[in-house]
Amino acid sequence: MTTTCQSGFDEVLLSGYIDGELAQGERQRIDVHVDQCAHCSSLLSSLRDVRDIARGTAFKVPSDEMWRETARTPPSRWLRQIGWIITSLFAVALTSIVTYEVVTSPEPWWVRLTVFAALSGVGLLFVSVLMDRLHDRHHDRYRRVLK
Amino acid sequence: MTLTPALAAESHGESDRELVLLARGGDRSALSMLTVRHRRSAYLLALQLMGNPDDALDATQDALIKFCIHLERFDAERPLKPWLYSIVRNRCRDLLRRRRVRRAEPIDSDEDHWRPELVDESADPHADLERSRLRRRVWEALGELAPDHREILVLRDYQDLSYSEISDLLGVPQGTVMSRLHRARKYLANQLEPS
Repeated sequence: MTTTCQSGFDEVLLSGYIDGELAQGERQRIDVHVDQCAHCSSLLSSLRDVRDIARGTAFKVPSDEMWRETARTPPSRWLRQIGWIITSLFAVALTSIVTYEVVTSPEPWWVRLTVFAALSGVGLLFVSVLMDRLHDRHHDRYRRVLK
Repeated sequence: MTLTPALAAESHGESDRELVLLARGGDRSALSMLTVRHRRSAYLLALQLMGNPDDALDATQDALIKFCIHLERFDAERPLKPWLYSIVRNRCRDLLRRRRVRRAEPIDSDEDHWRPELVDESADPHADLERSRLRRRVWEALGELAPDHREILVLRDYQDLSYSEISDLLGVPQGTVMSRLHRARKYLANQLEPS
């Protein structure tokens, strides 16, 4: 298939033609041109094939059960956000207490350091997840906009 | 069973408008019926735009939540589906953009993410084998299109919206719809040609 019609015909109109989106005069003009132009005749046939193949495609859709399992209603989302806030406050309080205990504990320094490192690792993982979620919320352009 | 206004509306095949008005009045079953009625088409649009069932389900859930929260803003005299589609489309674009930013991928690189999720409904597998292959090829090639071209082809050829509806939905002139659609179809047609 050559890339364009050699006669300079606007082949974009072919898509409008197969979709029935053109005025009668334009349709008649295309009928005449396609009869005379092998390139546009072939292209028209190929475009129709693509449209028909796409229209005949069926997709798997989630079952009713899957919709129920993944249902997220506004109340559940609000509860989740409240849960995140409470969990975050708890994490901050726990971190403060653990840091205080580690610093003031009579245990050898290497025991305190090991405990502190382990807890810090868990804490950092938690903070990274929290930061991702906050980032997502902050950068959601459509949180207030629908159109 | 008690026949609520929403159930009565549904059983009488009432319009979206009827259910929207009931939902606005606080009828939760009307809201539920609206989402159940439209979630399948919303999911299909998301799947066709994102190419991946997991992301499509996430996008659909998010879009339906926004749909429910902001139903008050919707003009009940207008058709519901274009409004819902605009929410789904915006959500999909947002998720696609985020995913690319996170992975630092080029804007058009979807190959690893684009997964076919098609159904072969043929009763005669031999007769329809070629057609099935072509459908998969077109679907895979759809994932190679630029997002602007893909969404127009999806809205026209998979969702069967008119140029006017697509133009309103995307906020572009109908001439632009036709030219992008043509380029998208031509690309797919070239992909179907024997190499």
